[in-house]
Amino acid sequence: MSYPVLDQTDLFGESQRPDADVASPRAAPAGMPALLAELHASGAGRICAELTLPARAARHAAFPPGLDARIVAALAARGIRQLYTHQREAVDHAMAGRHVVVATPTASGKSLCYHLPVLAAALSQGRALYLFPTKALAQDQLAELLELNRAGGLGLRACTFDGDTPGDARRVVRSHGDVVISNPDMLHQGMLPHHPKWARLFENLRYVVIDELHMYRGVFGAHMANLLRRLARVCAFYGAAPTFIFCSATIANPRELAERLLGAPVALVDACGAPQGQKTVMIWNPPVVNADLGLRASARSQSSHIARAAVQLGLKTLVFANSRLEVEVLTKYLKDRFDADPRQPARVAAYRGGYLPTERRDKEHKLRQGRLDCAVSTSALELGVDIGSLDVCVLNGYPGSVAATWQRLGRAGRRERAALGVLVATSAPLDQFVARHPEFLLGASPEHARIDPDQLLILMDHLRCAAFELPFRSGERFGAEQLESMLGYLEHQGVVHREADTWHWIADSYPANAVSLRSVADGNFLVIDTTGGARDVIAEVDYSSAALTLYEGAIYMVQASPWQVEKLDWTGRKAFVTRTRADYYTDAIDYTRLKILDDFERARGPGGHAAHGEVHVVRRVAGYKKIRYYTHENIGYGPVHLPDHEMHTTALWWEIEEQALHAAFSSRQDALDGFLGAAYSLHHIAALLCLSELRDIGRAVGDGAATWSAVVGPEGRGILRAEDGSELALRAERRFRPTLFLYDNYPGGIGLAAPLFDQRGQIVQRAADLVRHCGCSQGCPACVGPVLGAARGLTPKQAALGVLQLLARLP
Amino acid sequence: MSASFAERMARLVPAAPQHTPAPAAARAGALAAVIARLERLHGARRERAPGATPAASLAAALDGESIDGGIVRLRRNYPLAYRHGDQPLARLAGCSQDHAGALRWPRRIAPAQLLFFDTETTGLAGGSGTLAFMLGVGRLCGANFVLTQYLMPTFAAEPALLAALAGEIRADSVLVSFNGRSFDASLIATRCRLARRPDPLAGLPHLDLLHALRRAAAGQLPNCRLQSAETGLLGLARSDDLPGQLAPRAWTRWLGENRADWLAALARHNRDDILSLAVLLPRLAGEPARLCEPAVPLRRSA
Repeated sequence: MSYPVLDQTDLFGESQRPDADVASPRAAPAGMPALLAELHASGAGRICAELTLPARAARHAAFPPGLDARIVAALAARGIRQLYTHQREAVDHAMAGRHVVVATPTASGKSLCYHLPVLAAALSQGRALYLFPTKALAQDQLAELLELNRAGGLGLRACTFDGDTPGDARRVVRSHGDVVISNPDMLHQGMLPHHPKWARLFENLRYVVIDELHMYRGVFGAHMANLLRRLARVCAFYGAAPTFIFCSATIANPRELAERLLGAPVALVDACGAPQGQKTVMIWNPPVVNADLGLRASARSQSSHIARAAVQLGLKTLVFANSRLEVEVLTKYLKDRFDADPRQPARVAAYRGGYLPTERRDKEHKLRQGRLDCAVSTSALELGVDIGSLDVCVLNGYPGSVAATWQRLGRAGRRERAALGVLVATSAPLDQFVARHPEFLLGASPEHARIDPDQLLILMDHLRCAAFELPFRSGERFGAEQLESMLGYLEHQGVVHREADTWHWIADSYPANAVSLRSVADGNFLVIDTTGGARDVIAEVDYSSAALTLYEGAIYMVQASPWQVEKLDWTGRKAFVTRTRADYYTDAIDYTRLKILDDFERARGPGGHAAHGEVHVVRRVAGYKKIRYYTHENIGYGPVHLPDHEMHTTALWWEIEEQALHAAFSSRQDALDGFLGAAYSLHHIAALLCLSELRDIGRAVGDGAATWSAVVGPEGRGILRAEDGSELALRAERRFRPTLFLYDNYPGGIGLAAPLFDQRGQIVQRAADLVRHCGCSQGCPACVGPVLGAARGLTPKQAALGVLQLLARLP
Repeated sequence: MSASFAERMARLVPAAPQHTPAPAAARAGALAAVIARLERLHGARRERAPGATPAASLAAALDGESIDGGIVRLRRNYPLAYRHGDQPLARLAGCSQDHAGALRWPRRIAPAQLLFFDTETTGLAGGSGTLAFMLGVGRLCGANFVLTQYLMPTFAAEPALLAALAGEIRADSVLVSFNGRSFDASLIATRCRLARRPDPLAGLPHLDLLHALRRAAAGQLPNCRLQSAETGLLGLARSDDLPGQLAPRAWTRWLGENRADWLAALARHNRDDILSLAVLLPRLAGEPARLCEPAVPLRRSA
């Protein structure tokens, strides 16, 4: 498809949006040259790469012919007299009824790609459903749609439908909403199970808009694919066949992901016509402070130094950190500098999941209004939440993927202002890999987003929901499994009843309530402040991280203020906390036991084998460390008593026989240390190569029968723990055949183990490269993990390399 | 194939999170005694004769008749002298605008227009996976109160069940129910939508006695359940009643094991509910108005 490409001096003589600060060099914030100069001066030897992305001019296209004059007027009133080329291309696909995915950078005007066909359809009774992964994004798009509606007098009725929508408003939305803006969770639990109430929407459904497509990967993506299967069944019942419009941030395979989610061909639009301001990107590696240990200055101190410099020069700054804990620690450091005077309004704020919605809305509002100078966030702000324009974006640590890095860096420099993005490397292996190979980040294509729509547990969860929504008839399809086997299983469970060729739901239950799209198990924990007899809910924590953050004795932080967990009610899902003045934070110590249940494929070689198959995983939080602020010294331990977290999943493993170990190592202890170090490097490389996040994969060293598992003990050496958590003597074990596991960190597995097995040769080779070429002498957090304790015969680095060489000999 | 599928699931499921909510478990415990008593009362007969259609065998078991569309109809006539609890049905015939009471009795409606109705359903969860397999309606007809119940013996018979309900509706009907405005009527609307039929209840005036009871009995009864009104206002104590929450199991027992005993008990329960509505309405109408403010006006069902 080709369009007349117009540049900025086209017949309209103006750019698409007449914002005052658009596309003009004068718009560069005054402090930016000063900041760049300062960073260049202080960053000698620390800036390991710098890239300047030039400003890019707009490419425009005319509106599609025949666009209703009222819509043209509405757009003109908003200052839009023409489209960007990618918008026109997407609109043409959508209006012709072809599913389409738009994958262009942040702030390229993606939303117009779907607003336009949706508005046109609404003028002839066609309705639309918008799905955003978060409520905040839904609010932003509602506002935009209502402004267009007002400007053109279109008489459009657009409304949000989410957990906050009151009962009376729900009736109005159901019967009168031309555009219903919601999220997957509401579609899953509120709309599809009650589809007859939504009959008017489904009967007239012309478009389904799914924004932030790249979010739907892994577990969430598998849920989403099944949710769309259910939506398709319901639409078919009402005789509707809506066109899907997907929008995605830059990922390697937007089209493949959209097609996997939808189960149908999707057209791709990825040639961006929007203009872009100049952007500088730096990779910053903190200086080495201990060459022997390969220790670098902490990324936190460097990140807060850069953020301080930027804020002082009047630049609006956003700092991304990779964990909630990091967010709170960084916020404290920045608040110590800028919010020392309690009488002044705060200039620095933290933003992360787990805060209450009102608090997040308040922070978003203040950011948009420019009333905050600096925000510190987790990935919560990575999504398209409208927070206005920012000048500087500091990433405290590599987010784990190329796509997420650009998504975060894209937060600076919306509306074409000159912008700066700095990635500050931590001492983690991925970060050091990126710092040493900046071309990996700056030159490479981003990752593939993968989903497994037929993950069996997820598929069965949604099959139950689908059977509740409409009876199944033989001959239907739902996923790749044989429908009759699955329904036979449900019949055996007594939740469906077969009559002739139809299966009817008969259970007295509402299956959607038992299925959460976002996490493994249900039940968020409430954090309740009981200071001074109060009982205020101050935060929510999801089930999967509760054991790691809310154990009794934990320091839990909100807006950098510490609370101490006094009591954890595990079954009631509540943590009771009181305010504290502790000068330390806490970090959980956990260990994992695996038992091999079945191997699918096995490759034997000299001295051992590699395999992948099914495993049973038990994770236990054994205790926690207390770590002092600023100095990071370990000032104590505490015990934790919580139920084990068990799951059944898939894994890749390597097992080495004892004779092979004898030949390579002088002691079991050295071999065990080698396994732990090798596991650390393999885990990081595997996450990099299979393009998933570190937490999607787990690692463990054990004996394969779960009689023992190995962890790094307080002295820095590997120790064995028995099933009940007690320590075992390494010498006393009759059989010593260590097995190194990389497992899919989701119940049932989401399809990571088989690709890991296929790539095992490369994983081992790259891990060996990482360890061998690391700048440290003994081993360090950038290769084999933190090295503790005194010097020993074999360095941790040599031990890990020894094991990696044994693994490399396997086929 | 199906065995290997079940094996795969069995390997995965023990490690998966369990979704049995605590209240459900507690409820099951509390009901165990009731269920045991029901088993003793009804024995364990297989109801379905070989070769008989589901409708014919269910009709035989319930002393009803099998009618068009493969559904079962049960009909009972109650003379006006019949007392339900300590309330004679005759009071219903005497209701008029002179006794507004809690109901703000509309002048233009005659007692014979009132259509008392109640459904028995596969659950209380709502949504498209819940259906009503038994419908009961009662109305004044000359010197009798006529109570008709329809049951579907199979899923395939649901359209006939909905058609039978439509056949009971007249242009001037006024629905009377207990919590029917938000539950039963919206359930019927959903089922009709799924069966692609017009909703026979749409647009009918609907008097929901739950709301009237809430006002009239505030402070007088421990709660606003029908059972409390029966004990406190109607002098009725049910014996050997099959609790309404066992309705889903009565239905699956019939579907899975062809046993109609619980359905018979449920039909009796459903009749008692409708009779209670028929005597509760005049009882509430007779309450002094001061107890009843604000009165509940008639509203159209959605």
